[in-house]
Amino acid sequence: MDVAELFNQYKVMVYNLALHYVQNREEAEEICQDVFVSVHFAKDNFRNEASIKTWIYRITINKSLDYLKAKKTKKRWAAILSLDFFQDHAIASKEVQHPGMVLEQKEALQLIFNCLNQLPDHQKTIIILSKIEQKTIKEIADILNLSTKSVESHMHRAKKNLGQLLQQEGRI
Amino acid sequence: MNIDLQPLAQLQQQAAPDGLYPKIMERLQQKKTQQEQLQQSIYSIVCIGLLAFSLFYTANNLYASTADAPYSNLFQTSSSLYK
Repeated sequence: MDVAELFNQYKVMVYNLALHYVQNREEAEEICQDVFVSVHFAKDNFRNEASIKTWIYRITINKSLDYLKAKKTKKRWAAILSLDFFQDHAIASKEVQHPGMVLEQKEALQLIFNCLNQLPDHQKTIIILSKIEQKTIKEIADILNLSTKSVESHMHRAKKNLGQLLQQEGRI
Repeated sequence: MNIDLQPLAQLQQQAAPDGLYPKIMERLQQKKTQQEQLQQSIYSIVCIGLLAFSLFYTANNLYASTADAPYSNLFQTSSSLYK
């Protein structure tokens, strides 16, 4: 297993998945670099329990969530230090620059992403995997190392929460 | 509750940016250098620790041997004065 080989095979998958989480080219590129560096150092510990694709999916999801967590902490500190928390928070929640948005859907997608970004990590991941990546419940369960029942329950809660958030924003 | 998430399925797939691989290689190199530096620092700390311990041990032994009989060397019957 060579990093160059894995990079060529999975770069598009990793980049796009990271893009769905951060909705920004530069940040997705940063996550992509992080993922392949981790793959290089962890490849010797890979124990064929899952397919390599599933393994790389997991690493990308974890790296994206870590990145978002670090960004949130950094933003919170910056906001506290500048004593302008509420204003910064309001601006941050509107930043969606996903390059894959088609012009006609831009407004709807901005709104959906703004609501999606407010969901807990697991729920956000499940919506991304099922609605954007078009994965089945079984595939999601494999990627997240959960039972299908658990994925279904997370999915139900994610849809409910997302619906409420969209309703608040006047989407439905 | 029926929510319309159809727009999510219509997101266009993006190509990975150019020049990503050299950046990954650069980062890997940086990480390897960092690991080597860390390893060297750990070795240095261990060596200094061992040296300090051996110095302390030797000094302690020397002190113990003279502390038991501080003037014993003055009453050495094997010294040339008694011959």
